[in-house]
Amino acid sequence: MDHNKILRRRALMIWTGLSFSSLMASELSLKVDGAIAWDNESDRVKSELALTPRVDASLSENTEVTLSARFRFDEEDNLISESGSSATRSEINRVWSIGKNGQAEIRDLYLDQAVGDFFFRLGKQQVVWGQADGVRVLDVVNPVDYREFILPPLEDRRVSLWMLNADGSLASGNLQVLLIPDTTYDVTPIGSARYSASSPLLVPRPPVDRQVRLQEIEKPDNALDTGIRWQTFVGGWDVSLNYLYHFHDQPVYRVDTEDEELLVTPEYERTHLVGGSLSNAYGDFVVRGELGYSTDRYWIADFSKNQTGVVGSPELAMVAGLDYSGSTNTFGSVQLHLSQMSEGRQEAVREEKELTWTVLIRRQLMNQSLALEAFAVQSVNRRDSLVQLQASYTWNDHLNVYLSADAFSGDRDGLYGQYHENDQVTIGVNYHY
Amino acid sequence: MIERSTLGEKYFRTVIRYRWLVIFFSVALMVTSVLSLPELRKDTSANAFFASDNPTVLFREEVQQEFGLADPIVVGVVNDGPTGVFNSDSLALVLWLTERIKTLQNVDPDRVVSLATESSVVGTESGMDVLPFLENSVRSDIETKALWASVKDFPLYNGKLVSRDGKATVIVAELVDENLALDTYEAIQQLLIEAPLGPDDDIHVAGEGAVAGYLSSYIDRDAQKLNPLAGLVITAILLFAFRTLRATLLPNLIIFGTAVSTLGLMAAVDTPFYVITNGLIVCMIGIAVADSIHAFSQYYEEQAKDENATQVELVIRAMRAVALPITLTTVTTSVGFLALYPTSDMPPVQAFGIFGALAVVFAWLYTMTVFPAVLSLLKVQPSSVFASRGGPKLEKEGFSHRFINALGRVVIHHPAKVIAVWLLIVLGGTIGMSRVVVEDQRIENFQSTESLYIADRALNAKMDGTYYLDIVVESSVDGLNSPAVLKKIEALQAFLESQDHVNGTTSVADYVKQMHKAVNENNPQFYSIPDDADLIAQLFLLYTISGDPTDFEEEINSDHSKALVRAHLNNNAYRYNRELVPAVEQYLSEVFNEDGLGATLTGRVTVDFHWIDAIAQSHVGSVLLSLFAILLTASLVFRSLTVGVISTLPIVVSILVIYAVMGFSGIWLSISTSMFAAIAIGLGVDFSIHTVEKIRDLKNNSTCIHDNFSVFYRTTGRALFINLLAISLGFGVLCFSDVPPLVRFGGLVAVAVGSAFLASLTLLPALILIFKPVGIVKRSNGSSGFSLPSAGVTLLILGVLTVLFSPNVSFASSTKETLGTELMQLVADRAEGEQLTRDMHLQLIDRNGKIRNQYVKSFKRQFEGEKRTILFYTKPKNLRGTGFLTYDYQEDDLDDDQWLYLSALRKVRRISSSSRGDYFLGTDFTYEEVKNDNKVDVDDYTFLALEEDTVRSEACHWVEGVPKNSDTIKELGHSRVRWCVSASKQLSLKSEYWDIGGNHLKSVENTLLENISGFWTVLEVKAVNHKTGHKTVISSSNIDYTTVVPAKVFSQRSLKRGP
Repeated sequence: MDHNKILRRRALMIWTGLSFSSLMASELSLKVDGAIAWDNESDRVKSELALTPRVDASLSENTEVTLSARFRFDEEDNLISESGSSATRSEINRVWSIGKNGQAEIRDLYLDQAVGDFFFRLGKQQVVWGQADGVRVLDVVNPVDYREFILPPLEDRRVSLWMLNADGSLASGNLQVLLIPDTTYDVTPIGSARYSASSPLLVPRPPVDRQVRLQEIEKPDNALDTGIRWQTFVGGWDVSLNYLYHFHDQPVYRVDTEDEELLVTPEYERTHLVGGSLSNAYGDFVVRGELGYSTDRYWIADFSKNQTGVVGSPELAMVAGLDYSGSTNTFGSVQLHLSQMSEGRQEAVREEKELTWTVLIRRQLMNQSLALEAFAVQSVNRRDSLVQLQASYTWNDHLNVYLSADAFSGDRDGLYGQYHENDQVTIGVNYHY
Repeated sequence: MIERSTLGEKYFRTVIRYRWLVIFFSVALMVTSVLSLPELRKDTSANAFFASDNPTVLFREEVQQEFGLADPIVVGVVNDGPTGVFNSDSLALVLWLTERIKTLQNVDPDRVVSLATESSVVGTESGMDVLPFLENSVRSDIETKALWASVKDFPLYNGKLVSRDGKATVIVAELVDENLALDTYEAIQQLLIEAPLGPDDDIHVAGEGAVAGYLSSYIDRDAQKLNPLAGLVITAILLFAFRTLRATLLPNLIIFGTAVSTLGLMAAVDTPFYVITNGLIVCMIGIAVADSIHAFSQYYEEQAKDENATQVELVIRAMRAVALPITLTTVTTSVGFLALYPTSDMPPVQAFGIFGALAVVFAWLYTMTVFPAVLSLLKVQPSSVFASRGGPKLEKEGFSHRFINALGRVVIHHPAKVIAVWLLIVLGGTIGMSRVVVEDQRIENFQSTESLYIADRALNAKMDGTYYLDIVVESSVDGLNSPAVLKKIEALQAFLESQDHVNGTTSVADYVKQMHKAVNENNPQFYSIPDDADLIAQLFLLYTISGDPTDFEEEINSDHSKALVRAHLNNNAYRYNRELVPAVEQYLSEVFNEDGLGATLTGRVTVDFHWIDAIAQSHVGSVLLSLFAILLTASLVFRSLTVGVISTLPIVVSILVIYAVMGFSGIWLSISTSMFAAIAIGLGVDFSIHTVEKIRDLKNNSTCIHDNFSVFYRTTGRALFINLLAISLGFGVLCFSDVPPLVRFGGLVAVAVGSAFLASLTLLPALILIFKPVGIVKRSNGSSGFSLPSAGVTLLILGVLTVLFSPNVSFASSTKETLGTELMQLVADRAEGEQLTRDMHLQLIDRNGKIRNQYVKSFKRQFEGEKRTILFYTKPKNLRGTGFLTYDYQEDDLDDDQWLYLSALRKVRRISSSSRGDYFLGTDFTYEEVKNDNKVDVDDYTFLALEEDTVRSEACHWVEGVPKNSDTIKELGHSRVRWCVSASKQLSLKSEYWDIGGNHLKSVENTLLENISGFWTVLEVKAVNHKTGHKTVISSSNIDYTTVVPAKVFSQRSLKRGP
């Protein structure tokens, strides 16, 4: 039995012991999500059932444990990539297969411990940074699962990581420190999966006459990501300063052209991310801003100009948002996202400045039982876009049903346009017990 | 006179010396007023005429709430064909209309009543069955005949839902908000265009909801159109009278200043713009222009007299001459307007009185300041009209001069005949006055060709009537199941039906009788009240098995302690109601009421009766009070009772003329016309004061009275004539309105002003010529005559008199305001501890009774300069972890800071804080109320203490709060609140809210209070939203004021982590 297995069993035993000892102070809940989606040919593309049980247990006044797992079954099986999603996950962050179409994973498993003014959260968890919605500048602590591209809410797509998350008061603000040993990265569907990427922005396109051999993804050994954030509230402004030293969650596809065939080696690259966010409310409006500077980012290069297939450059990313809630039961929000690379712009497939804007309108009706939501995101550079419409009805405290439509359009090489044939309609149910 | 000229001259020299400063301040005042105009709140609703504490209205509102009644819009389908409306086409039309009307905005779909919604009670083998009359379309003749038979078999609906001859049926739709009645009426009219009419089908839209709501908008819309026209007419008259640009534009500046200052002040003190405020605008134009006309006339007179005088000298001479007359008319006219206040309890009429008086003062202020300041800046420029005078060119005088001079000659040479003619007019006026009928029917405010009018008449001719006299019968719980009580109700109905104009009645007794018949195999002999109380209770139960139990909710309340008896009248005329209402009141007190059983009259008919009755009772008093006030004022300022009487006589005569016109032409003395007397007095008194003053002034010029009179007619007489033309033609424009009340308003005021003018220029000089009163034609002693100090003293006395005459406004109301503010300050000062921890259970109940439960853990703590509150949702599961954090700053200009943590998003969101009036997370409480936690921000409102009361056996004092300005109204989402404050607990026990449109919005009641750790704490609070039917109950437990809540709990970090 290898060392990891022994560790896992030991952890399980400790967990079980803790669970039983705290049964009296614990709370169990279950969330059931069912969804069926059809594409524009009326073919069913998803028949999913997800069960998310959750236990919150209070071990003492200052100690709590939370466990939440997700069991997901998809009858259609065309979302999960052929190789499954294990390749980019670390040993300690696995997804277990249940039968042919099922998956099980631990979404959260952490211990909360307060010590004086300090607070520690140790275990598998999600940490959200920044103020932006849907677009990511600082919200890069946890990787993301792209099995359904960006259609589900980001909170459902984030992959939890094992980490130590500590925070305490510092200089009229709050300081958070993250230590992340977990080497799990973005889960990207490949092969015949419905949302496998084809855009040259994401997938290298070597010359057609050359044989290509894709190496197994290389993951860094014993990498430890570290993050630090200081957050404060001053003069009506919520301000945060962030720093993250991490392996970027998207692999870099380096191409070796020495042989007849092209050898493509995906590897993860480290970068420093320095940034901050701020927000304030003015009357009915809330303004939000977020800025991040990454020292070492890599993008896919135009193979005719750069034989390594990769261009490296620092990246400055920012997002500005304006929320409006002046009308009762209505919420509106617009955001503009900018990513700018400073070097090698002639060789990169992407443009020097990539602009994206988003708009969100949400309206609640019928005693807040019915919610209508429209979200649109469009790349200004390529004019490709995604529009999402959703109507959800809260039947009672436990039951919610919804109908949604997702439509992609635009340039097939674009981030959204690549899925222009993937329009879908979904009906779903959420049940909380 | 030395004193007068010196003081007046000094004053105007000072004004002209500092003219730029005067102009600057006046323009600043006008600009400030213009800037505050957007704050002016418009309330042109019919309900605005009711004082908010009127007991009759309050009781009616209570009854409306209890039985869910509101004045409806009635859509009638009439078919005079052989089968009446009982043919497949007409019935399909009823079905179609019912369904479409239900989908209209502002129509409560649950309260649409027609053949397509109502059910028949029929006997079956097993008891009885409740069957819809018309569920689907009816095709065959047999079916239509069967339907007609079943409707006829149900007396309750005969004459009410379907006419007794079967030729008409109605669809009754209750409105959610009566103020939007016009929109709804128009939406229904729009429906009618596409309605599938059968042969002979005719559709009418009527009903008190339509009439009351529509009328105000109808008048308002028309007045808005005509008011600018009045301004144009007056400008044209000015041009005609003086033929100079300055005399046309400067009065318009005074008019503009007067109008914006008055309306700006209305906005500043948050008095709404009522429907009759439209009339005030015309009045203001008339008032403002009068002063300018006199000043310009005098200015050109002076110019004609001395062609070499400088402009400044001319202005000073002119202003010195007119200063006192226009000051005196200002005093008398404002007294006339003020007299409206104490004699009416209708807020719009009171506002008309107060702001009419203020407009007079503004007009005076601008005439005495801006007018000379601006005029002195211009060069001397003669008016062709006046320049042509002066000896040789006399024969070329214009029409106005010739007319006035002719009038003067008649008076001077035949004073006795003039008096005789006026005596005849007085006699005629007295006869006419005796013929004046007190009456007001809203429907009569529409032209007889208006479709609403035609509909009202058509439906009231076919049906039992669309006007309701309601009687609320009150007994103990289940007391109305008693056969004796039901029989009394049956007798009451019989009594009502025996009265004139009562065409039918409905009550729960009709239902009981119908059910009794139904369970006895539809045997008509059993159409009676059973003698067995148990059987009655069982009949109700039986009905609920097969029918909708809410079918009775308009007739009886849920615990069977209150019932509504409704009499249908086809006419809402005061002259009939004056007989009917007291007769019913007498029947109730002498025959019906007994121990444990009481009945009270209410309904639109009763409210209208009391309303008009109040006018009938108070009108004469109101007119006499105005006349007395003017007599007193005139006597004081002229220091002679004789002169006072002579000055007042033309007004008395003009009022008699109005009454004569009303009496002979059949114009009713109604709510709108009752104000004419006061307006006519206010505007008419100008003429007599100017006349008396000028004649008095001229006595120093010549000893020959005839010469003096000639001068009077040539100068002041002409100015008064121009004044008359301006006012009467200005008001006369209203005669072109489509709305009869505006036509009457314009016409009668023009008549009143015209007769006051004629009386002042004929009767008054004739009396002076005959009686030669000492104070006017010769000096009585050296001290006689005007002086500014005496006018000042008079103003002071008048001020005191006004205060005394209107006790409700000043002393009493300031005491009530103080008490109200003190009580609410007590609430605001209630100690609430340094910190508070509690668990809250929120029940959100929708109109169908569906409950959503939410559990919240809440922490609150005072910090320096701010209060911080944090809430965590613990249940249900889908909300668990959601948190809400607020920093509420004491500094007024600092917005709160608020954050929301949505557990699903794992992200703290900053949320905007300006939406104080938004509902807090699906409850019926606003963010403001949740944050203030049973306190009220006293800076937001002006308060008025009302009556004392008891709520759940606890004494409390009602306080009404009106938000201070329209911004606050918009922010808070309500226009008025009443709290019943327990002074000992420093808490409101119960509160009522009215929305921005003035509709009853919600009721909040603190149902469970406890003193915990020395702090009065609300353990349970219930809120009911009357518009949506939604309710919220919040219960608190585990209340802890002592455990210190750490500061770190109130942080975004803790928001994420939970409690």
